[in-house]
Amino acid sequence: MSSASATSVAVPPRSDTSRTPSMMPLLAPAVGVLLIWSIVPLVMTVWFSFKNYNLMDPTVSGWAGIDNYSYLITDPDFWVSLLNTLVLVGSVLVITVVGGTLLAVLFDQNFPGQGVARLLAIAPFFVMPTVAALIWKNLMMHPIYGVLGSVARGLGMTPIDWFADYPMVSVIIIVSWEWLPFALLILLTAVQSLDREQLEAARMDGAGAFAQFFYITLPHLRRAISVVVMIETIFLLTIFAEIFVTTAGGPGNATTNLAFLIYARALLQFDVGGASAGGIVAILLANIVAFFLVRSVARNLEV
Amino acid sequence: MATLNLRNIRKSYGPVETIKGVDLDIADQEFVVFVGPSGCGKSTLLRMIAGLEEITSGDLMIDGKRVNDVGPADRGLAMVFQSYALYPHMTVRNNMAFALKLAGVPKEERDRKVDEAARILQLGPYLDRTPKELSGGQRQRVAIGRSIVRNPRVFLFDEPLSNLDAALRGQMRIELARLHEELAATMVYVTHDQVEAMTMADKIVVLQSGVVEQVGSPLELYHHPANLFVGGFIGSPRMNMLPGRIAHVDRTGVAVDVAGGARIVVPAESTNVAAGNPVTLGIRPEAMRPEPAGQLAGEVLLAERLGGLTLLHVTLTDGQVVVVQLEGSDSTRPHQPVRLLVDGEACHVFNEAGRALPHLERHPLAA
Ligand SMILES: Nc1ncnc2c1ncn2[C@@H]1O[C@H](COP(=O)(O)OP(=O)(O)OP(=O)(O)O)[C@@H](O)[C@H]1O
Ligand SMILES: [Mg+2]
Repeated sequence: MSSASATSVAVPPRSDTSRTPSMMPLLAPAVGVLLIWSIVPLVMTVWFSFKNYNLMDPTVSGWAGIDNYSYLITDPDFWVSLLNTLVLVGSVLVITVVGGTLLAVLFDQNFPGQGVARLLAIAPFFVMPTVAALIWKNLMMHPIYGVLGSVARGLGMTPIDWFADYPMVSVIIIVSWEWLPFALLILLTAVQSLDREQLEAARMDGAGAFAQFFYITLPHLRRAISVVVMIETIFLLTIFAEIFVTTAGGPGNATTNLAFLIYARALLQFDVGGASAGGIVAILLANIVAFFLVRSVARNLEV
Repeated sequence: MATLNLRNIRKSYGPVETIKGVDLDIADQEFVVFVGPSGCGKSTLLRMIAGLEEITSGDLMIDGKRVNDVGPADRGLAMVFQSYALYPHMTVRNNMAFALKLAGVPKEERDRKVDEAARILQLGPYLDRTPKELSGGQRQRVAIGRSIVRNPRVFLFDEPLSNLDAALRGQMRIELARLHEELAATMVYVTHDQVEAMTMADKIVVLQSGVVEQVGSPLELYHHPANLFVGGFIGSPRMNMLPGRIAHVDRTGVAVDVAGGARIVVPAESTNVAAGNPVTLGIRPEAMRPEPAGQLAGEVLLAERLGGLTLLHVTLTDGQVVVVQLEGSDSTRPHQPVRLLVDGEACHVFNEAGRALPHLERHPLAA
């Protein structure tokens, strides 16, 4: 015992530092790939955002300074797209979280056909965004061929031309339809983990269905809701396929969000410099949102 | 303040009948304990009284009024759950005040009642903590406090102490007994624990497979078990059950021949039995002691010394093992031959159907 501790003291405390150099070559490939993977596109985006770079006009070149940024900030389209992004993300979050919570509580009850109903409710999550958007555009919301149009005509009303009259609402409906199952799935597992005896104790205490929901179930769901909000926000900030397939950002700029604006700059106007500046703004925006979200979620998760 | 009457209460889950017709009267301020093996329906019965489980048939009366169709909150009962079921996101104070808040009681009165309950349960310093910052015993007290503030007519407990360690359980047992006295409330208590049942109950209800086997005071059940099941269930270590045959009967009792021809005379009513009937002789471990003149012969298999008590496991001549409980630290060694003297007055005779032959004299403490 004593000899063992004596030898361990005798060994110089170099073992850690002496191992580091020999491990570097082994770690290098993994770290290198990661570095290239994440840093190169970022650096290139920053680089291009300060250049004059138009795909259709090679004569325009050289450094642009902050021109790309000042052009972007003074462009009313940019502010509209920023607002559209926030409206889209905010509305979908509210709809999916509120709807998901209510559905989760509903699906937690016992009723005949529960299994099938759950499967149907979760199914939209497995549909590709482009396909989902096409289905909604052509089969549901089309004023002539769409289901909603037929229903309206059946009721003697004028069919609504969704994408012309309510473009943003239409996109919000489609995206909510896609993301509601995700919220439902997470929240349902959370509801199911609620201790039944807590609800029974609340019943003994005189809580009706609403009091049980607001005082017991909802506080229990708080963490799950914050997880849903965080994950959905990250994905909703970059919604593109649904807009591209249905409205192509229009009419006008009514449904142009930041992701679509960047796409339009780069591949419709061929202005890589301006698109890169938009990309940098998008990165900043995502990071600001992520900062606040992670902080508040982390606080919730601690509890 | 509150009486409870159960009239032929039944409960079925689908085709399976779990509670098979329970009749029970619980007097005001009585402390009633439900005991029975796991799955016998203790919790189900308690939850039916609470209103958390629908009553399939029969009548449940509180203070003489039928309450089958009254919701759990309106029966004037409070329940303490095994898992405590505290609201994790509320402070201790809010946990206890929740029912009052829902009932629309003004804030000052709520605080007054919570402070009063906290005083009784010594929870004062913890009122602003959340449940997870409390120890098991403190959580238990909060759960009890939550039921106290509602000033219920009847308290229901479902194994409230089973998550606590032995020392704390002993302490909480005393606190509950004190609380019962201080609140002068009717209490119904479910437990697995013999000691809890024996020490706290005014009345024990022994259940098996949804049927009440016997109702009575703890000592009544101990000294006058109605049947084999109650005899074996109440008492620890278990009553020794020896198969035997009736040798003869007379006015002073029944003589039973057991293993190896030993004859034991039990002063029990002999009206319904005759010589030659097969019976079971129940002997409590403390009703035997080693004595050269004893009726039973055997060999000591094992001696468990608990300090204040010694448990001798003795193999009788026919191979059956009986447990003998002796006061103090006994010096008997394993593999030593012994003879056991059986106190016939403390024995029980069960007929073929398992029913006990009533003793000719009641035990003085078992009214
Ligand atoms: N919701 C239910 N559906 C079907 N059967 C049930 C249900 N709840 C309880 N049972 C059955 O009813 C019987 C009694 O259950 P109960 O919980 O009352 O037992 P218990 O005496 O409290 O047991 P323990 O001491 O283990 O708590 C059990 O056999 C159980 O399987
Ligand atoms: Mg139980």
